[in-house]
Amino acid sequence: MTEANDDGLKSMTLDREDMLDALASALELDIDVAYRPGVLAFLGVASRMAQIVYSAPMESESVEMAAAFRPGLEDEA
Amino acid sequence: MIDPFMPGHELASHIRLGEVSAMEATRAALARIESINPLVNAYTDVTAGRALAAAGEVDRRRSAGERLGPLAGVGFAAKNLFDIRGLPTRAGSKINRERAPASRDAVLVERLSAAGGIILGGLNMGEYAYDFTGENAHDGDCLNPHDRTRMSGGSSSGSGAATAAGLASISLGSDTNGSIRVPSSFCGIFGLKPTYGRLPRTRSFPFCDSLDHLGPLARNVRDLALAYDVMQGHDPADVACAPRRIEHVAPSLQEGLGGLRVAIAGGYFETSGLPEAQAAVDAVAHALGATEVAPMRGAQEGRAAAFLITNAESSAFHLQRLRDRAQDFDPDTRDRFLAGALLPAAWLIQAQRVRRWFHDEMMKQFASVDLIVAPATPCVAPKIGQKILRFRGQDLPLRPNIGVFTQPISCIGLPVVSVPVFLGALPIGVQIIAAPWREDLCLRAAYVLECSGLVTSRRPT
Repeated sequence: MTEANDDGLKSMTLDREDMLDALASALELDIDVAYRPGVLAFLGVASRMAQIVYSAPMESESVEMAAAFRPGLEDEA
Repeated sequence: MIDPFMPGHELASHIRLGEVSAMEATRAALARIESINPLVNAYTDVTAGRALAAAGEVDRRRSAGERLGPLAGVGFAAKNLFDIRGLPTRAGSKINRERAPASRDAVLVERLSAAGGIILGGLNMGEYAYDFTGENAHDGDCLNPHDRTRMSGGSSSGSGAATAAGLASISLGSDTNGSIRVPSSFCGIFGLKPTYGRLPRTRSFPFCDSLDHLGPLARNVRDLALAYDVMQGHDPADVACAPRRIEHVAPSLQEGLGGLRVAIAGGYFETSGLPEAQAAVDAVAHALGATEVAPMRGAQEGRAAAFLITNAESSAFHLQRLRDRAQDFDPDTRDRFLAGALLPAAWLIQAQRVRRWFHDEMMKQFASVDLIVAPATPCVAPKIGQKILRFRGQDLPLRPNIGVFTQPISCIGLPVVSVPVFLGALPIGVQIIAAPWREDLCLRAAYVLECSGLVTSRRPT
């Protein structure tokens, strides 16, 4: 594994084989050897997408996370 | 003989006037499904008995002088991730068909039925909605009615094919990254993906809750608007459903473009090197008087955010099924789901931040423009089994890139209508995009284009 940095990029430079083995084990997800090439390919696609979202030119502290939780059921407006 | 391509609102009018009975119309629709569906594989379940009973009830109410709804006697069908009473909600999967039959319809099926619509059955789809092609290992591929060697598009494949083939006047689909707009584009019909949070998803099987939208597909704009209108209304059982008042769009369809500012999507959506998309976008932009180019800053990042949110969230949802029954997934979705289960949480959270940032960037654009025109797909329907997309001089994997132009728009929940432009024998869709909650503007523009004759559905030959 490579060294971590402070912007979440660590996993993008992980060896994808290591990533698959480590995380599948942590999740108790037994990935059949026949599926590995396909899973590794899609991890590659996701890694490229992660590089793109980390390249977004936004100020690091300025954007709230989009996920919102509203307790209780709301009445119709 | 009832023309199976008669607009739904016209059929409803004939039924209200007693010129045609709902029973006659429904029998004709079921007979057509029986003869044509084997050619396109759009339906996975046909609810004939229920349809005939509902048609009888419409005719009884008319005879009794009771008021009939705007879709009285109009046949519709729903992607098989919508609960349909009496059917297991299979969501395109092998695993889900072991579920108990649904005890109650999805809210949107209930609302269309309350408006007089007659549900004809459940429709084919890509497994768990993770698909843009219309291919399905369990139920068979759904074929394009305009060329059965080509893809219908997905994941609302049966919705696109059934509507285009005259096997339903209106269909229901879902759109997480483009799954209403892609089959609308490939099958040459109209599709509406409303604003995120507009229509309730209650009693439909989810794909990715953060991005899932439901909406109608139809062969003409008025049917699309009528179906949308009767499905509006808050439902607190869907936590993402916004507590908005109902804002009917059908009454404003004929208001025209008067004063609307229309721009062409530039930057990420640039169509040079994509001759089919370019021809369609140019024609629609010209017809709508669009001259300015909207830069669409952040679209590439927004698309990547949608990819990661979808991949991580849907895989987490299916994690136990992936642990227990990975072998029962469609091979074309399984590896993507397995990979998505392994993504670091930081990627997902960064993707959510980018989603908000891209949304805010787009809101700045909507300060000076009302509608934006963009391609729905990079090309017309590919051949069944095709794996590579030629995209701006590069060979890319086809499956994930069919939705390259739809994904950024659903990422930030904008309302959009896909309108069909025929280039020779095959159609391609163009997206008409508005600011949140302005479905009315999308549909007004679509109606102008339909009246001009530029965008129209066609009978398959």
